[in-house]
Amino acid sequence: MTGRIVLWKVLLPAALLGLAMPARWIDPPAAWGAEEEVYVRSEEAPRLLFPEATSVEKRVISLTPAFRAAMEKIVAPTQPSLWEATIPVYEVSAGGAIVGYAVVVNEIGKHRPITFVVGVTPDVKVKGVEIMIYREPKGGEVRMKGFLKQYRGKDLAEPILTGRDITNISGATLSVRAVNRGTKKALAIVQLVYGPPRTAQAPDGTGIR
Amino acid sequence: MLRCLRTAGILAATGLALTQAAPARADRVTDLERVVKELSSEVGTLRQELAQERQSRQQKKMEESVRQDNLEQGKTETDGTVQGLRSLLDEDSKVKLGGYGSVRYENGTSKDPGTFSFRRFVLTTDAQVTDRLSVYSEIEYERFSELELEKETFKIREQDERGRITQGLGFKQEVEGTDGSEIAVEQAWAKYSLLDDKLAVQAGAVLVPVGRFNLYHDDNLYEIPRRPLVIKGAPALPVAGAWTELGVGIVGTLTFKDTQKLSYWAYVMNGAQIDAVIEDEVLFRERTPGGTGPVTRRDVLEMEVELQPAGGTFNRDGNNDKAFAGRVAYSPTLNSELGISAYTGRYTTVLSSADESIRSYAIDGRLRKGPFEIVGEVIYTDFGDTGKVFQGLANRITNGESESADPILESEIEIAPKNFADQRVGYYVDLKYHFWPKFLNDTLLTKGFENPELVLVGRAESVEYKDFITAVEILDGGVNIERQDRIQDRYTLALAYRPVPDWVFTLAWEYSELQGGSALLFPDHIRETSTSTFLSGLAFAF
Repeated sequence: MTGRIVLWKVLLPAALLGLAMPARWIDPPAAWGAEEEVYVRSEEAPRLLFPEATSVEKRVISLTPAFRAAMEKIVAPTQPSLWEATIPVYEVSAGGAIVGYAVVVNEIGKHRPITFVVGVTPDVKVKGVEIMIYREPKGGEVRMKGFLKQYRGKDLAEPILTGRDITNISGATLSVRAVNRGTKKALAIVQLVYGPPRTAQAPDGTGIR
Repeated sequence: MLRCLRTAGILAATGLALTQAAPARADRVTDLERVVKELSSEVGTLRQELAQERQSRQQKKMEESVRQDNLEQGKTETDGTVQGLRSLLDEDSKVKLGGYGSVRYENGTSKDPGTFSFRRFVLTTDAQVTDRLSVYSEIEYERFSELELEKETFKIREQDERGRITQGLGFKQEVEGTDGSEIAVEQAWAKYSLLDDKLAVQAGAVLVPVGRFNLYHDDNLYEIPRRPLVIKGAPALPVAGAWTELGVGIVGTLTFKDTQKLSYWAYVMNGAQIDAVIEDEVLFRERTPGGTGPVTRRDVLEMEVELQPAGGTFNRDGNNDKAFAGRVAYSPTLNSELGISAYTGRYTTVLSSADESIRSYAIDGRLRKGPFEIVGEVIYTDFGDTGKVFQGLANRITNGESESADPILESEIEIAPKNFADQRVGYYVDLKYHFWPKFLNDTLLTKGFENPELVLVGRAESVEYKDFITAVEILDGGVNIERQDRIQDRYTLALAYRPVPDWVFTLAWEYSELQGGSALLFPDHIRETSTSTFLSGLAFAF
């Protein structure tokens, strides 16, 4: 009997009231028309990671077979789950000098790609990571700033692996791995296209503890 | 260059020394040997440097070539669309098929021979219809091998040796299946998002949010290849996990202060109810009373009506009252969570004239610090007065046992209570240590895997059934109930290997001990008061 009272006199009216609420009260309408959870748009991404930017120039990097082979060597033993045909890279300048690159990459979480932007400094270190589009039903916690700040300062010499230099999020293990892989991928792109020549393989780059 | 000058200097000095008169020839020979050694070392170093320089030039050349290619290409590209992603975001990709499962080998329980069992194979579908609408389902094949139904309607036309003809119509129905086979809908719900992840309405067959294990029950998430007692073997949950009910509710996750998270689940559901399972048994028995006495034959067709609290049907609300369940989980850091949850709802049905309810509460938590992790939960469930439930049953059926008068084939109908206790309480706690020894780096265990790990796990658990009903006798509207308190502890030690996060191979040893009552709650078919078992398992997801 109590159950019925709670159901009909409390929960149902509350639910109807909630549904009748104007959408603009609770969320910007623009985000509702999208086909996925868009947190950061491409045009916003470079300035989000490099607030000091005065100009941004977009380039599109083509993942040719040779380029991909070179990347595979650099990120090994990390194995990217996705090889995009092209990767947008934003060259960010301030006062006429390049201050970094914002690389938009995609990696599969469990079943769907996660789109995120990795800010990389000219000396090929991570400036920051931001989740742009999250499509998986579970694991969206990877967009939490407290998690993403772990990637700051990482370079290709570091493992960027869960349990080693990256703290996992319970319930989002596969999404965390996707961000790890994508970050390495972004570093490799900047290294190959803009970075100084690498002289030696990182001693700890095996990925194995 | 400096090195070359140095080498030339050494050579010149050597030549000069050779042109001098040689009063001390022996000393000179020693000097010459030293010089030759130095020169050899220098040449070796130069060779190494030359090789490194060549390698570096080649790498630089390749990178420069790739760089030029891309910069040239970048100038001509203006669209910037991530072409490779298009195929992943087309209509087909809105539905994703996945799954998980596990296989186990166990040996030792009550001297039974060792056996493999296919614990379960679960197929999952996840459909993202639009940003705000999604559907998820899990179809479970538990220990499933075969299920076959044959139905036939046929004409009868038989002729005996005297030429007499018998005609008629016949119906035949045959069910073939394998032991323990089960197909179940473990989850099937649709979600309507109102505020991104923060608030969504969920309706359908949902997991009851009591404790953390029932919500996160996928086999590949756990290293030990047997579910905790409080969940499955001797459940402290009202219904053994994974416990699913039909209902509607709201769910969501709020994130704040960079790393903190608050998740909630609140549902109204049909709820758990007493379920009756009819079990048939045919027993052919001969009894020899010893000595030279006559052999007596007593065949029995036994029908047992097993009663136990179970998940509600997906057809109608059998207990005629709605149940409520909710869980709130707070994560103060990325790697920790504390949850509290509760369930309440009537479980008696038309089967009994009593009106009794279940109230269940759970506290669960998880914390990981470096390689160490601790996960556990405590569950308490109150079933009200279970004596009233069986008295109410007696009122309905007046006599729970019937016997036929046939002296050879006797039929018996018995009422068999299962897992009925006034209260059930229990806990489990898993202590884990994640590691990877370096000496395994170049072995098959690592080949092709970027970050494999080993996990050492210890689990301690205990369950207590208070006023556990061991037997019920219903005669002429009255009821006799036998009860006792039962307590069982179990300890498990396991070593697990995870090549990737969602696959796990395990070796485990478990020890169960009776702490109160006359027999173990699990396994319930043995007489021993303690038992140890070796377990080996593989759990996977895709």
